[in-house]
Amino acid sequence: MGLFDSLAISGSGVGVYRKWLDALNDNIANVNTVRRTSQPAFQERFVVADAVEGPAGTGMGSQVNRIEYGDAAGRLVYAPSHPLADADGMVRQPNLDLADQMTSLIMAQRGYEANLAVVDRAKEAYTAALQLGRSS
Amino acid sequence: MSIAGIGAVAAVPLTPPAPTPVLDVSGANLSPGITTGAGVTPVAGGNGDFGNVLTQAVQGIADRQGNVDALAQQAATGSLTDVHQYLIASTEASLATQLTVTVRNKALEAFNEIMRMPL
Repeated sequence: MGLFDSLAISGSGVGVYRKWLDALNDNIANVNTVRRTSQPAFQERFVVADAVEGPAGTGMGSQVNRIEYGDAAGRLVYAPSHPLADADGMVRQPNLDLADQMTSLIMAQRGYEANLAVVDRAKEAYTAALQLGRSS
Repeated sequence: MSIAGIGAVAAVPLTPPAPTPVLDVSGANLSPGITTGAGVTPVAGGNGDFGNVLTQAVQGIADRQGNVDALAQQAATGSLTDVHQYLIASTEASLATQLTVTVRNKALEAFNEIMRMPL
């Protein structure tokens, strides 16, 4: 246990949500990425977060363990004029739902802000404790 | 006796790794044998005395400031990956500095109080 653990814990939470935001931004940026039908489609990125166990049963925040990837099959779209289209006029697009991504984006943003609010409160609490030592 | 008091004040918040001073404080419950009145022993054993504690605290501040400096450099050169890391580190450094300065002021206050004692 360190001196300013609250700050470190909520900082780890901010980091996790930052990575989730990055993954969602990546998904949204690639929502229209077109590939040939012989190639795998762009795969949706999923951030897998896990708790960090501290000593004596206390938690020490969260961290991103790994990235999981979504469906590589995507969906086939009929676009015969597309330069990447195969003989049947099909191209492969990622199986991403933009509305789904935007909803997750809101959640990630709110989570990021919530952790920053905790940082702020922890700072206020420590500052209040310091007032104890201030001479009048 | 009052010097031991200063050591005890400083030993509480600033030395995270050594649980022994706390045990010493509870060991002062041995004071059922306080019938002699003057039997209060100084707790300043090992790294408990105020000079060492303050040195450690200042060293801790220096480490934190160095960390913040490295992050500030990263921010300036554009290689910073997390904005919040920098800001949280600087908040921590600022709080640690305030804490140490407060403890130092308190100790100095106590010392001045003693110096004002009419002899």
